[in-house]
Amino acid sequence: MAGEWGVTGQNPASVGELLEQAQRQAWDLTVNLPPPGEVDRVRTAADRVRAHLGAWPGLIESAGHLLRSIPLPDRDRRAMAQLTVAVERLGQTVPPRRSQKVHPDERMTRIASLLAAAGDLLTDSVPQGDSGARQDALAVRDKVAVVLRTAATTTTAYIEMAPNTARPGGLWDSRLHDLAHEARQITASIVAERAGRYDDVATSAALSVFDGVDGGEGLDRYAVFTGWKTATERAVTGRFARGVDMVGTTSDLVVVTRLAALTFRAGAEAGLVDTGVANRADIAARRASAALTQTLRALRDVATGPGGDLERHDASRQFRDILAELYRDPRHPERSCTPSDLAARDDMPQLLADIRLLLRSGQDLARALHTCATGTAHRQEFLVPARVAASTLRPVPTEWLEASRHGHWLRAPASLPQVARVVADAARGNELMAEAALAAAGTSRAHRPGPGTVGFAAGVGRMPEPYQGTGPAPGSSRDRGVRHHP
Amino acid sequence: MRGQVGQGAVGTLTRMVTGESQRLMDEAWAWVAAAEQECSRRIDEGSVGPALFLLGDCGDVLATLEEAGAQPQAVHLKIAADDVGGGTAGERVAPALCLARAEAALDAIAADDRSTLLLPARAELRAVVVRQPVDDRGQ
Repeated sequence: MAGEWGVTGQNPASVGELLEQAQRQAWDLTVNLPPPGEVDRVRTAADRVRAHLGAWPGLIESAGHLLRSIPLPDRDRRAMAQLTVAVERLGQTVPPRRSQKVHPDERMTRIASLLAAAGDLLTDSVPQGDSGARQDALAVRDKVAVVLRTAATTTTAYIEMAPNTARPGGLWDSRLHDLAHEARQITASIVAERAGRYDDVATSAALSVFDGVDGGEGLDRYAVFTGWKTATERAVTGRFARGVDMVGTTSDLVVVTRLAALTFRAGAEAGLVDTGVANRADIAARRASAALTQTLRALRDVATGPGGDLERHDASRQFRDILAELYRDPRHPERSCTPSDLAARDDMPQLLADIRLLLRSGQDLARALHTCATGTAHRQEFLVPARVAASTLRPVPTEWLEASRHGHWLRAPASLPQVARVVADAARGNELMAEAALAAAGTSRAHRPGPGTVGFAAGVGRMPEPYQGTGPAPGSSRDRGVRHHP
Repeated sequence: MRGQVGQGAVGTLTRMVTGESQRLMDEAWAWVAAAEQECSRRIDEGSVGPALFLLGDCGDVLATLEEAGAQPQAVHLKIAADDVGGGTAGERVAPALCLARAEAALDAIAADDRSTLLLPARAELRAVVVRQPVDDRGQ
């Protein structure tokens, strides 16, 4: 899953890589369309539509965020306007009622996350007022248009196949068509695949902004973050994930969400985030934290066999040490860090960017944790004390009573309340983690750091040279010919 | 070591030690679990101080104690402030005091009864205690 972001320890994700991943996800959306003429079962068709409809609000928000983040002088904004307006009009329309039983389509949700991440990178790394070459900005716009067009077309296809009861109808349907139309207009004019200098905007550019901290330390921190995510994901998606790894992952996510809540409040106090946006993100993070704490308690009522993933354990320890160092007030190590303490720090913009990155990573880990808990429960690999199981189930098998007398432990059926609680709490944690990540994406929109405080205008970090020629852009992640937009 | 789960519906656990030593190991587990529980409560109340990071550390200690043979939930230990000393019944117990109690329980295990895996568990617990700043009760 690390490849999904294109994030590795040495090569953080760039805008170009994120958009490429989004396009791959969009491709997979179309691959799952049933061939023409195949009769889809009514219920499956209805569920598909509901899953897509449930995912569109997040996609709209992320796409709008990315489009607004693309640096373009006001005089050139018209080139972006029609697509942006179509996205916003769809967002302003009352969405179809969301089904509680059908989860938002996972691919669409992932596309939304990728677009939001790209938007964050542009917002955090490119100074306000960067005039940029028009064609570079349009390159990003075109990729977004391709993704939106694919998503809208696929959703429309499912709507047409679905029974009337599942169709959204009305204004929402009409505005989805408008969005698809605008995106189609743009993609029809693309002569060849665009590459531009914004493709190469990456987190490494934002790492060099600390006063007194050189790029080497910043890179180490990101290596730790990505190492933690990779090791943790491997541990909890493995066939024989151990309880200690599930507990460790949940603990780490509690730390991340709680720090996120603190950071967003500090961001508002520092004037870096709108108060309303920060409040929403704060609440979402705390709700996720509470749900994950509940999951932790539920995991303490069950066990798996001995053993755990050493790499995950080491990565988690290193990760927590770095976070503790980041958020520690060296003058008062024993007391809680307050939003005012953080707001006064020079590295607040970087902390906000870090925590958004961690929430996005945490979203994937929470999903993996839920899948792991569900699989472990299904395979009856959770153990409980026999006396606990015997007191819960009726009728009680004789051998369980015997085991209870001897203090033995049992493989618990998935229906046992202690096990069911783990699965349910992990599901809730997953859901709220996704909401927290989405709310966090909004915190990068409200205010861009001014010139001289962050990034290139401060003379720190390096921006790829503006691309002027007709050959491959130097240092670009793409090595293909590009023709100027006529 | 917890041992292997047996065949069929009933799992079995092999105990390395019996009697008083097992009880003390289980008691240590329960005290660390109580510390973890208190950390969770403080996080719910908004703490982002030492309790936030102690949560994960407690989890690590619990894992090593289980490896050493402690049986979770085998002992229902009612943690009362007056057991620890210095507080009144009904007060919550600071995590640092719970960890100190866990250390005391492990140290009370007879030297001959200390399984090989108990040493890393004891070391892990000591490392966590040493890492904590002076606990500010209520913070």
